[in-house]
Amino acid sequence: MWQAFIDLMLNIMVFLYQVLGNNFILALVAFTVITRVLLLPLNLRQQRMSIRMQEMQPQVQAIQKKYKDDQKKMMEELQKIGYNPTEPLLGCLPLLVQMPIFLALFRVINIMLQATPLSLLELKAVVWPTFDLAALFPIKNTFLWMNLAQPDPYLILPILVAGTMFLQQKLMMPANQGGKDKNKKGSQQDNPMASTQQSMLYTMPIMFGFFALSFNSGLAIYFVISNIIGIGQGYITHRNMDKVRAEAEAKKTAKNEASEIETSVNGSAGEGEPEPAQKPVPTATTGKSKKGRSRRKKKS
Amino acid sequence: MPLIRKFLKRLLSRGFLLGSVLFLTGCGIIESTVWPGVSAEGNRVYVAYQNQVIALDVAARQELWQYTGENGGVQFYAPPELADGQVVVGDYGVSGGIFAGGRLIVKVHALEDGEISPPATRWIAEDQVSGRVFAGSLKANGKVFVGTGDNHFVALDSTTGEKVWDFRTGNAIWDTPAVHGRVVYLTSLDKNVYALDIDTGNLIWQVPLGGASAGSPVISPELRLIYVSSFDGNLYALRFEDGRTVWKAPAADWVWGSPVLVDRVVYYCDLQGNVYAVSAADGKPVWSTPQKVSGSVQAPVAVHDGRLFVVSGDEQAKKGYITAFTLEGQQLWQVETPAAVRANPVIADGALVVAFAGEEVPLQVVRYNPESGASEWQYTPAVAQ
Repeated sequence: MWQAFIDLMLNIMVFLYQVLGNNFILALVAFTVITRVLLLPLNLRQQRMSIRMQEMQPQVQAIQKKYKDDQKKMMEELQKIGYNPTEPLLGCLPLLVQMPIFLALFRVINIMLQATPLSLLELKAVVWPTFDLAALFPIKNTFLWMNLAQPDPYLILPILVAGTMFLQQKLMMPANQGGKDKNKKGSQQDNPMASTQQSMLYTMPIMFGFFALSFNSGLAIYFVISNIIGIGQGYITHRNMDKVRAEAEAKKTAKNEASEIETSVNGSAGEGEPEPAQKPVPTATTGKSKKGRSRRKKKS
Repeated sequence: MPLIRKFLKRLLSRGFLLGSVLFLTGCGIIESTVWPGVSAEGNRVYVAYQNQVIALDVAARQELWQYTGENGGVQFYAPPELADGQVVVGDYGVSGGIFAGGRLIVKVHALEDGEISPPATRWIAEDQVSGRVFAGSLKANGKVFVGTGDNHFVALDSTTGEKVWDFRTGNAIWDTPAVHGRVVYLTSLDKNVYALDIDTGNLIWQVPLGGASAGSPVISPELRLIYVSSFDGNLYALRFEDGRTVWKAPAADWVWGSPVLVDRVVYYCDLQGNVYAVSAADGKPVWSTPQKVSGSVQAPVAVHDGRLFVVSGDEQAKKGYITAFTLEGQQLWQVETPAAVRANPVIADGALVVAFAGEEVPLQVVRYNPESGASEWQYTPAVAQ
C-alpha cells in the first residue's frame, strides 16, 4: 500500500517533469501547488477554526474562572458559546494528512535525484511504460548553486524554510497575538492555547530549519514553496475573517440599535427587567464592542 | 489537578516534537544504494561492499585481508583496482557533519596487497575528489583515474595520490574508464562518450549518444573501435580517431553493463534479460536469436574457456540467477541465488566467482564450478566493527 503510494507519486513527478520541459524545480512547484490545492479545504477549515478558537479564549477563560468548582456547569456554558474542547486537536489533521505526502516525497526525491545505481533500477521498475525514461534520464539535479539531491551547502534554504514557516505560523494566529499583546506574559499564563501557539511559533520553524540542514535541497524547496502558499492562504483567510467579523459586528450593532429604539418607543415597559443573555460573538476587535456598549449606555 | 493536566499536556506536546525529530531524522538513514564492487586477479578476488574491502584467495578458499578505512564509518562500493601490488578503491564518502551543509568527505585509498590484515596504506587521497565513487578506478601511465558521482573525472598521481588534472562531465560517471595509447576513454550519464589526453586531461573528442551510458568502454585495437552500451537500447561502435559511430546494434531495453569482446564477437545484455552476440566488425547478429535469462541483466557477462556466464536478478522476487551458455548461445546450466546478482561476475582460479547481497541477505561471495554450476565455496564476511 505504502509502496503503491510512493510509486504513484513518483509517476506523477515523472509526468510533471516531462510536461514541464524536463525542469525538476518546475515539477516540484507544480506538485506542491497541486498538493496544497487538494488540501486547501482542510487547511482553510483548520485555519478558520484555529483563529475562531483563539478569539473565544477570553470568554472561555471567563467561564472557566467563574465555574472553576463546577465542571458540569462549565462544560454547559462552554458548549453554549460553541466551544468544543476537542477541536484544537483536529487542528493537527492537515499536518497529519501532509505527513505521508511529505515522507513519500522524501523517498521520491531521493529515488529521482540521488542517482545511485540501485535507485535508478528502482525508478526503471516502477515508472509506467508510457514515459520514455531513457530520454528523461538523468534527471537534472542542479538548480542555481544547489545540487537538489544534497543539502544546501550555504544554509540559505534552511533559513528560508525556518523564515517562511515562522511567517506562516504567525498568520495562523489572531491579530491580537504574536507580540502585540501588552500584557503578554500574563495573558499567556491565562490562555494555555495562546501559550502553546506562541511556543509553536518559534519551535516549529527552528525544528524544520534544523531538519533542512540535513534534507536534500529538493525537499527543502518543497517546504519553502509550501510555506509561501500557506502564507498567501493565511493572508486571504485573515482578510476574509476580518470581513466576516466586520459584517457580524455591523449586524449586531444594527440589531441592538433597533431593539433600543423599540424599547424607547414602547416606553418604560422593559425597565427593571433583566437584560437577555447575549450570546458572545467571537471578536478580535474588542475596542469596537466597547464602543458599542458605551454608545448604548449613553443612549439609555 | 489542573497542574497535573498542564504537566501532562506539556509532556505530550514535547514528546510529539521529540518523536517527530527522531522520525524525520530517521529518514536520512543511509541504506545500501549500490551492489558490491568486485574485481579479480589470478587466484585473488577483491570485494568492496558497505564498510569493508575484502581480499580473498579463492584457490586456498580463505580470506586474506579486510580493510575498513582509517577510522571505519566509511562505505565502499567501487570495484577495487589492482595494479603493481597496489589495490586502489574510492569510497562512498561520509557526511562532513550537519553544519558542513551537503559537503561529503570522499577519499581514494591505495592499499598494499599482501597477506597482512588490515593491509598497509600506501596513500589516502583526501580532498582530491568530492563526489561518491561508484566506478572502478584505473591505473595507467603513472596515474590513477577516478570517475565520481558529482561529474568529475580525476587523474591522481599513482605514487602520491595528488591530483594531476580534473575533467568535468555533464553528469555522474558510473564505470571504469579505458585507456589505449595516450588516450583515456570514459562514459557518463550525461549521454556522452569522451576521449581525453592521458597527460593533460584535454578533450580530444566528445560524442553524444541517444541515452546515458553506465558501462565501461571496451576497446578493439585491431578494429580501431570502441564499444559502449547505452540506455537508449543500443550498443555503439565508435571510431578511435573521432568517435564517429561506425555501427550500432539494437536491444529490446536499456543496455546497462559493459559489452564484452571475445574473438571478434561482442556480447551484451539488456534489462529485459536478453543476451546478444554481434560481430565486432559490423554489429551483425552472430546468434540467430538473442538468448533469454530470468530477471533483468545489468552487469557485463564473463567469458571463460568457451563459456559465457550471465548474472541477473529480480528484486521483487528477491532472487538472482546465474546462467551459463556456450559461445554459440546454447544454455548449459542455470542456478538460483537468494538475492539479485548485480555485481559483475569474475573468473579466478579457473572458477566463476559471484558476489551478491540483498535486503535480508548478507554479502555472500560464492565460487561456482564453471562446468556444472555447483557451488564449491561460499564466503560470508564477519561483520566488521
